[in-house]
Amino acid sequence: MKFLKILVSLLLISGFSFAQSFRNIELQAAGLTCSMCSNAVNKALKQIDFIQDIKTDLDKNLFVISIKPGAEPDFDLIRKKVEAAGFSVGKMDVEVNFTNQKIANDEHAVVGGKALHFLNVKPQTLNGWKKVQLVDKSFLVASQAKKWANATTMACYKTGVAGTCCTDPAIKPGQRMYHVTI
Amino acid sequence: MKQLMFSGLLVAIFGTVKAQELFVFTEPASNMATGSIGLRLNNYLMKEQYQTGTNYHFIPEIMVGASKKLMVHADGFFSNRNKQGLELEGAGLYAKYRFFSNDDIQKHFRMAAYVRLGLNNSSIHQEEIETYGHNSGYELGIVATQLLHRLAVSSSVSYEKAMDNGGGHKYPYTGRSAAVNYTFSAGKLVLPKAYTSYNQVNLNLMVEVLGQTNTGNGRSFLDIAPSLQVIINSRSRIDLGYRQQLYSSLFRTAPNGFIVRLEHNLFNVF
Repeated sequence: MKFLKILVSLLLISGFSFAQSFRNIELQAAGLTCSMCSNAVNKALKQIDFIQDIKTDLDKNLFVISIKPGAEPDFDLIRKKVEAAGFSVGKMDVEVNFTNQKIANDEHAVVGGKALHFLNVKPQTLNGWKKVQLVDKSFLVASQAKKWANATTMACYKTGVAGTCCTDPAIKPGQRMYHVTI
Repeated sequence: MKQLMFSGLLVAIFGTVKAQELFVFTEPASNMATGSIGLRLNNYLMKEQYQTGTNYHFIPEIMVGASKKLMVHADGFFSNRNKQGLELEGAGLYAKYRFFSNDDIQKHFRMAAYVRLGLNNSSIHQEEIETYGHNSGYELGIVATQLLHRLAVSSSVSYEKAMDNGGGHKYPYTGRSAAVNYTFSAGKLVLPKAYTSYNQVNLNLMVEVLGQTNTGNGRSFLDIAPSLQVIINSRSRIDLGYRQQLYSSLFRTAPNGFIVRLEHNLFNVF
């Protein structure tokens, strides 16, 4: 019994360490300056169960969100909470843990169960924690979104989901595709 | 170019300080957060022009953030106009729908459409049309708000139609029951100089211009309304405003006076 407990504990610990693919998210909210507005965003984000803690920089409208260990963050849910509070995501950076991940411009990869489409990057192999920026339209202010709209000709930038053009067998058609850059 | 000059003028007036759009006499195009509830106690203390004393209107108000684009207010209208203490005279509903939004970092341009419905049983004593606590009727309007390099300005235009009040109080001014309202608002944050916490007390100064033209006879009024606002713990508001008539060719009984408003916001209620 004791052995079983130890085994379960070890499995949980190792499971957590492997499962932790996303750590901190730095979110800059757009469309506000006042602290009452910022408070509305902060309170809305605090409702999300995979968020452990939020640190705020009120002058820059920055929210540094730490993800609970082992939890899988839903980037769209974060965005929806900001929008429900009456504002928008201006910029969102996510810390991602890579393990010998080969990436190339306009190509897909699966990290921590999420389909990522890398844009405007050089071919490279990523290891350890790296900050990636989400460049989907709904995670950018309008002026930035225009710049990224032409970074790929693939339909998934407009639809937000993997299409038939995606040849990676790990990505299912219809799966949420996040477009990112480094 | 005209817009640029206008913006430049506003920046020159208000400097580069942060602006607030939580206006006292008007509503901005932005809405409350979804699932939040705001409670207001509005107190209007207006000096009677043709009688002695003060016309006191007490308007408790509940505000609901129904969705990211829609918010609704419900109001109760009390006043001391009958000289027998405070009496419930009517109720109102207000809804605002944000239909356009272009957000940038510390900037936005937003537009919203709104409707107000007022029911009132008081006697009608002035030519000015006000469905917020005086007349039964409705108001339909649009508002645009610009937050530009830390400066917020807002403007609205509305059509307001008075109907017969309840209790047998007919609308007495035949052919003059409709009006166009126009407002312009600007505000700035005075304190704090730099944000460090949600618990800092915010002090805002605002100035608003409020006008009405009756579509029946073309008569109008124009008021200026400066106000001061304190925000506590990023969730409660105390507004102190003063409304002063600049000119009027419309018959009004109590155009000048104070507003004292207490507001408390509850987030994530539903």
